Amino acid sequence: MKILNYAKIDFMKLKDYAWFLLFPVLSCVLVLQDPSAPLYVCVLYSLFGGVVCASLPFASETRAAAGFLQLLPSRDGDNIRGHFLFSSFIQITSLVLGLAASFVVRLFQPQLPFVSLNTCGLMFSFSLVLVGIQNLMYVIFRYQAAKAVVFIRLLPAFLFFYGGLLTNKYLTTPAFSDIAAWILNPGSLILTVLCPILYLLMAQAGAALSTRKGL
Amino acid sequence: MNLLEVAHLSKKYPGFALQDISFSLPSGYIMGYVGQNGAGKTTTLNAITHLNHCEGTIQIDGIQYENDPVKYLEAIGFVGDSSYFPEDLNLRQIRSILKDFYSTFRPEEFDHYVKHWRLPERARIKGFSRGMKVKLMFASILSRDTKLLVLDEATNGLDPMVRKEILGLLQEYISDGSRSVLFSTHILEDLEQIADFIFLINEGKKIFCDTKEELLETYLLIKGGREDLTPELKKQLIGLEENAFGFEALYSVKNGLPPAGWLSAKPSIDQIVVHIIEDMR
Repeated sequence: MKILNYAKIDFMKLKDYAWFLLFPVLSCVLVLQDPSAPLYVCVLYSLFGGVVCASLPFASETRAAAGFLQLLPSRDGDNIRGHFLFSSFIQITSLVLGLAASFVVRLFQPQLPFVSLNTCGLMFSFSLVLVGIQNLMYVIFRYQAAKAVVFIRLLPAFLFFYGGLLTNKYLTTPAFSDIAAWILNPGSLILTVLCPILYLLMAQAGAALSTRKGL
Repeated sequence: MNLLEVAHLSKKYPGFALQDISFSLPSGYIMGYVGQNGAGKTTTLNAITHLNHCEGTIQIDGIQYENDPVKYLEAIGFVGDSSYFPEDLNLRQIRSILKDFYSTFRPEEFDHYVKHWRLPERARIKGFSRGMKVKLMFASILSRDTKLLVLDEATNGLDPMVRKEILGLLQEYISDGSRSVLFSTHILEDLEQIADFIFLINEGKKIFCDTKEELLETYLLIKGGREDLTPELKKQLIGLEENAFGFEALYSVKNGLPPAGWLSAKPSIDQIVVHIIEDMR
């Protein structure tokens, strides 16, 4: 319950970062302008927005504000678990918005096939791992050289974005499509399940690390 | 009964070590925790509020953090030298957070303080003045059931009227005899008014922990001419300060009455602390 309350605090701060809701809208526009773009690009763009936004409300918190969260009565590390919970909510929201955007696009381009559940699941799970890495970076580097930390933290998001774009570009080449097919079919289920488990482990590791480090 | 018990608190940082700090604070009393910048005051207070981990044991009302972290943290009210609230939030959101986390939080009492101190409900905390932020911190801790208030330079930079009001609130807080205050400050005048115990820390070590009365009765402030100073007498003086006209120092009455001809007066807590620290340099 306390973990949920901590996530609620991050939601309170989210008001300033509501611009991330523009990502699904942007994805609609981009896909509509390029008839060759597959629908999953909508979900990819939206999840990218989520990855960028998922740690912003707490990444720049001051030492004093972090102290306030630590003073709230709860178990050691619950504040960090709360941040991870918040980030996962953001990714779920991004997935839903991305799917909604893809439905909107399909209204105008009915020839495009729907985004497969496998692809969605895989992209979501992969984005969750990237968010987990970002959040761990936040725990490790917080209060140190703020600007450098922001850059390092956002790196996974950009890797995710450009990785996704490259996937889109090379998906049609035979060698790559074979690999993609392997990942998206038999491997996807495993990865889709493994990634959230990895995310939970990262949340626990972050909580333990934060407890050990202190403020 | 001791409300706060600190035993063998130690912590090492590069270039600084908190060394075996032990003390206790009975219920219904205020303790002033004093020392120079970097002496280890904040390290001690952060250990008590569990913001930092130290070796040693701390009990508040018989509870150790390791045994019941929620109850332990519920028992503490902390006011720091700067606002710890997330700066982007407003007062309503702070109220909501306090309600979510503290089982004894009373929103109507919080609102009472907010109205009394005219704190803006919709403005973000970052727009608050230093005085408003301190008032908000006090509103948040006085509107729930705590056992121990931990204040770290809480009255620094406040105007005299607000300071006076807050000192009054602290005295009211301990008046039922079941709660205590641990107060770290550089404004020793505040401690003169409200503290029952004074703990002096220097370079991470405990120098003394006595009741205020005992301290005031133990020392005399001595003044005299330079010609009166002999090497033997110098040894009895604490924190000797010499100038062109004479000298000033502390003198412990445990050594007997001061030599005839010296001017002696009752020192303030400020003077006792300054001379003792001066003596250790």
